[in-house]
Amino acid sequence: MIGERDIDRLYRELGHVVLRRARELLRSDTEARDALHEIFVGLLARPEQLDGVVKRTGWLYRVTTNHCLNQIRNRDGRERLLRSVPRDEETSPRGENLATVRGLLARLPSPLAEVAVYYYVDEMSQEEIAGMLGCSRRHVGDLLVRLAKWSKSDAVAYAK
Amino acid sequence: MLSRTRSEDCLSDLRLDELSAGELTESERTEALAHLDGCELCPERLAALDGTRARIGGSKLPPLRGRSAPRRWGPALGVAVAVAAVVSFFVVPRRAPPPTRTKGVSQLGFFVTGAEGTRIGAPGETVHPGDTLTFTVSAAAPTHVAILSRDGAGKASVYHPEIAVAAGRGTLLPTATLLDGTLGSERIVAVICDAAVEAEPLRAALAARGELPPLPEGCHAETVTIEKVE
Repeated sequence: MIGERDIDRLYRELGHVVLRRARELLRSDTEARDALHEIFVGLLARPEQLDGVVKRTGWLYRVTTNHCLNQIRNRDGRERLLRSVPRDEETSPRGENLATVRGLLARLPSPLAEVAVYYYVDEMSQEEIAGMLGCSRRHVGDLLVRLAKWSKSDAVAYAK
Repeated sequence: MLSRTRSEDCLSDLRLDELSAGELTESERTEALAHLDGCELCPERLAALDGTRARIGGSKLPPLRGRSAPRRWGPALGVAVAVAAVVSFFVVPRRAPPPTRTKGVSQLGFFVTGAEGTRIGAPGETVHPGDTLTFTVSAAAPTHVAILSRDGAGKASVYHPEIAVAAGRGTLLPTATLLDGTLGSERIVAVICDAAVEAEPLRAALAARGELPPLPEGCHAETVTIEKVE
């Protein structure tokens, strides 16, 4: 049975994965630290969530993504609370990709938002995304097509 | 335009993190290392991830315990937050008696997000227009919750529509409430039931008479008062 010590060890070993990804998605060090805290305090409260989970990194990826997407969706009206991380990261190709994806996340419906994060931020393969979402590779392909169409129509609507 | 820096044949951040964490099977590890040998981009990305881990990981992470309250909040997706449960069960009220409870073992808690950040709310809490309230419920068994309020002007609102809540401590309700400009004492009433309940008739009774109607079997109410000031 997973206990408090296991969660503490998991925090030390993989907390940086949660913090890094939360910072990338939320663009706020404060919010990212809150996300890190909430996710692991939640695990301390219910360690049974990890029962049967073999690859804990993947599990943390999923929980972090869902948590951050909820934060992003709730940001309307609370933007005064945001503090940015330095903007120099946006000058790299990866930084530019991140900025593009982040700009869409608040408007993207689920599960397109999750697919956008896994495919364009984490740069997973469709096979890996299928494993994360518990669906077929073909379904992931369909979602990526929908995502491409959505982002194209959103770009037009936004420009107007 | 959406794009990637590495092809699908490359190693994702997830795969690289799994490699560093020692979570890959023998064959997965062999395949990953073989790819790293022959790719220009992935070793660079692995080095970047390793650098980030060195900068922010391990002992450099903030302490997991001893944090008094989250500074930001948002709906948790199936993740209960233990700190809310611990504080809502053991915190000493600062100004007023604990929430009144007509029967049952559930307990209402709430967080206040304002200009100075997020704090755990207590009965008699001073709040301001523009603050956001996020509610938690602790229940010994699966339950249904609706949260209503009656403000200083006698207006009654549904702060949180009826929702099913799993058993557990400090379960965050997904919708936060933005407080309006009406000042004065405000009563927040959580109606907690074994089965789904319509919130609107309760709100209407609260508006008309200042109190809830007799509740159905299997329901009880918990009330907490807040003070909204300029």
